[in-house]
Amino acid sequence: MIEAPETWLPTAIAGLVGLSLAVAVVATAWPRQAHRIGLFGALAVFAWVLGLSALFVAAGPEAEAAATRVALGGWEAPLGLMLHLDGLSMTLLVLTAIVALATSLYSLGYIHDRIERRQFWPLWLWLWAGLNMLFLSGDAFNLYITLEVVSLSAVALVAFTGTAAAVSGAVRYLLINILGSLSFLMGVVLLFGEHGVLDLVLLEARSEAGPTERMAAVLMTAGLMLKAALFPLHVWLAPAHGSAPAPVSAVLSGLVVTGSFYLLLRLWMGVFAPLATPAFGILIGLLGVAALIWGSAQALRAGRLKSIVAYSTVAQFGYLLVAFPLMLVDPDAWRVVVFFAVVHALAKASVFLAAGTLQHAAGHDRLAELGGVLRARPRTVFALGLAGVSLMGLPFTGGFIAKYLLLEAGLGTILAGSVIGVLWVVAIAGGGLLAAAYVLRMVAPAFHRGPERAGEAVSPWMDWVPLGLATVAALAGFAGTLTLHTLTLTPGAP
Amino acid sequence: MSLLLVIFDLVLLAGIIGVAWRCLASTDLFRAVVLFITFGLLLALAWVRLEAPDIALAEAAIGAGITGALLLVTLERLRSIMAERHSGRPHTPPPDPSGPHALLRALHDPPPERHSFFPALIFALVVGSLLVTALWHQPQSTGLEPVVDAHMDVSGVDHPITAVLLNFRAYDTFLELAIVLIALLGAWSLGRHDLIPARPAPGPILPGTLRLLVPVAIVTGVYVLWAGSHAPGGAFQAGAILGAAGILLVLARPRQLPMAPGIPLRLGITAGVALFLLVGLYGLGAGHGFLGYADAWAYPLIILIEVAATLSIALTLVALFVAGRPAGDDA
Amino acid sequence: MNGLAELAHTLAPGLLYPTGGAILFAMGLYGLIRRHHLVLRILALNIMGSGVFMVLLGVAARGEGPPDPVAQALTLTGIVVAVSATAFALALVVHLTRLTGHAVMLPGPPDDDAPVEDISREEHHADGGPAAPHPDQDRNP
Repeated sequence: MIEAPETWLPTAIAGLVGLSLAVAVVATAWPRQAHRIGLFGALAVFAWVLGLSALFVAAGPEAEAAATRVALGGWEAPLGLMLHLDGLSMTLLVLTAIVALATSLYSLGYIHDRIERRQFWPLWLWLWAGLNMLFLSGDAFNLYITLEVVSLSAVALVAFTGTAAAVSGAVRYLLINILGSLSFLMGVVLLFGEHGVLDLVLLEARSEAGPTERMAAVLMTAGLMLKAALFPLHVWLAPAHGSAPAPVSAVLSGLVVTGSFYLLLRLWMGVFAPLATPAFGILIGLLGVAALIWGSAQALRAGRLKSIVAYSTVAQFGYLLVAFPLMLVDPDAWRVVVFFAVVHALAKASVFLAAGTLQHAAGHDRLAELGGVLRARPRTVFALGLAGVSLMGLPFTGGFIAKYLLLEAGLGTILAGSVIGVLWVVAIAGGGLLAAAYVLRMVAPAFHRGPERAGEAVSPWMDWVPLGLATVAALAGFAGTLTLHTLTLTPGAP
Repeated sequence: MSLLLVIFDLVLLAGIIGVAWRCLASTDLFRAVVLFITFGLLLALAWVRLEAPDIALAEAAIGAGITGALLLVTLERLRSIMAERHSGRPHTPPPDPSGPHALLRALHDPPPERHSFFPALIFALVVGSLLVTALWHQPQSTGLEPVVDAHMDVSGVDHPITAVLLNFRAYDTFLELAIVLIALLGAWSLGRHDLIPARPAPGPILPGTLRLLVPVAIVTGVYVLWAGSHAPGGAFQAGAILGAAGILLVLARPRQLPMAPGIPLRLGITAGVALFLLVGLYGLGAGHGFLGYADAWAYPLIILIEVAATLSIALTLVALFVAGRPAGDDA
Repeated sequence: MNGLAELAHTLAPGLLYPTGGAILFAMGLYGLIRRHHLVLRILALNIMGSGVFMVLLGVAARGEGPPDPVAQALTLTGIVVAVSATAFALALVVHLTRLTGHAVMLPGPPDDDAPVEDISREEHHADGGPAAPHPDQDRNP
């Protein structure tokens, strides 16, 4: 007789936290073997997350019963800390596992220097553990701590190559992150002062549209927008993402930024739900349109491959903001937004990995001089193109489904009589066109006539992993139904 | 009586805010850092007033002490880098007085430009007044004090803050240890540090003081650690005090300090998190939940974790002060 | 006399200190915007952090009974996080100054023409060169 999945679920959740922490701790204590520990750890955590998601989907047939809360140390809230797993966090855990596994495999080929390996792996494993803990956290103060774990290890990963560009990007990234964390923490303190609890579910039950919630919402939203580089608080993104090593850029653009976005969504669907008014939605949506235009313009102007990709992250996150007003009109739209964020993370990570391979081969990433390498490396260019197509949202890719669903939601708002809905629809459609323009800019030199130049030899990991991840991004459309179904298992969400 | 206290509060707050203002407004970095250390000590006084002796201890040891030492050594490093760049060659005596401009740039920040004054002022005023408005509207809640009080008998310790830190919210404390470690990994990833040669003592006072202070600091640290289970104190304060003793040794160094050996050092800095995690995983396996203890085992396990954490924190703080990773770590 | 007692009651620490914390937070923000040297910016962030802690401890001291131990434990955690972040930030600042000769955050996007150092390439090796020469090394005879 096999026990019901519900009984195993809490142990599996706590076990995921324990496992990802154990991998990071062992790699820190034994840096000489850190890359091997990292590889086996990555496989183990990946397998654990897949098992957990199977347990979760099997255990949660009803939306109301789907949040599993685990009292750490046996202490229930409000005294203790609770881990919290629902459809939203499960989806992001799976996304993280996929991107993180790909990045780990890629790093095996990318970081070969013995000393650099010793620096990279422990920090990377801490970052991954931090992301897992962030998605599982159900406590406001614990969220602050996990955010700090994520940001400090991310900053260290940006800086660890020690070049002037990397260190100056890292300093800016760190200061902005500390500011964002403090702003977030002040919001947490305000909520704690008003309600006397830190648990998110308890806070949600007690929250109303009072002055404390308003100020806390402003502080926490601003802090997370700083961390997610959402327009107009985007200043750190391109320097940090563009100058970091390719696997780090992939994780930053794909996962770390998504983590902040996740938290914004979680807070606005929970604690701050009473504050979400249409005027607020329109304000955020306008910010999104601005980010879309500014980010695309920068991506069209930038001279370096990785800069283009970094700026496109600003633009793509504009989309996520545009979705906020849609969510107020059509409560179901949030699932589409999450799906879009998932596809974006997959595609963006593979673009960065492919860019890293090209940069490695050519020795630089100046677009104007990259033609020879692009022509000689069709596999990588194909990965770049495939992921780019997903970013653009051409039919049959994950990006298409996401943008189609967003457009549908936008048209729905127009039909519901909202004039400004036209702007959202135009932004969503126009943003796709702009994305097409900068993606074409990246791959176009491959189709020009000219000499081929393979450049530096590339390890098989660096050759194949971007292609594999890009394929996953393109095929994500087929997982759309499953993802959207998993997301319905989020209690409290509309 | 209460009126006197109000006057005390007002004077103290005015002092804190005034010192912070002078710190932020000063163009001389050294002066700013000294004011910041003063600010930390005044804060410790405020924490005592708010009936938080643990925090006062931590603020004095960590906030003012360790942070202050880190800031001062940073200024010294910036000055030395500038001197090196200015003279164009490494390992030369300080540059001649005719060319101190680079040095001045390193340790001075020109007064801010006029054009950012009003935007910054208005922004800060808006944020501050909104915060004050929200805070003044809040009810007189007692927070979680009654809940913690009701569970003290099963927490394994007699001091509520230690109970919260190492039992009720042990996960936060674990991650806090992890953050100290990640900061060190980050600092180490930037490069190695050189040998730390002996420093000629300028007189008999320094070595004598050192001989007196270091043992006192160690005894104090151990006492603060032990006291944490029933009175203000605990692993972080104790780690900071021991770390301060280590920093003092690094600073004064009557003889050349040996290069730290790689493997023991790694094990030392990870001991705290590793032991904490092992206990946590054992709790998960034994059915007390991740990071949970059986009631009877809570006290010894908490003490065990605290000892390891104190050691790791002290080592990590000294390593952060030295900044680069020791060459032994690459072997 | 009554008025004074009432005033004293109004200005209880549970209200006074959170207000002070809010002022520190705003002041730190002001300093962060106005000052350019990275060390000063780090100080400004630390002052903001102290403001947050003052609000938290002030809030914990509200009400009748003993202060809230959870709030105090959170503050302790926050102080340790702050010193870690500060230590790392200072290490970055020293390294940046060594590489570029200045400790100021330059505005604007990255330079498109700056050379790229790619750690994945064979010719690249971490030299592990000196990152933190001890400050007073130079002055040793």
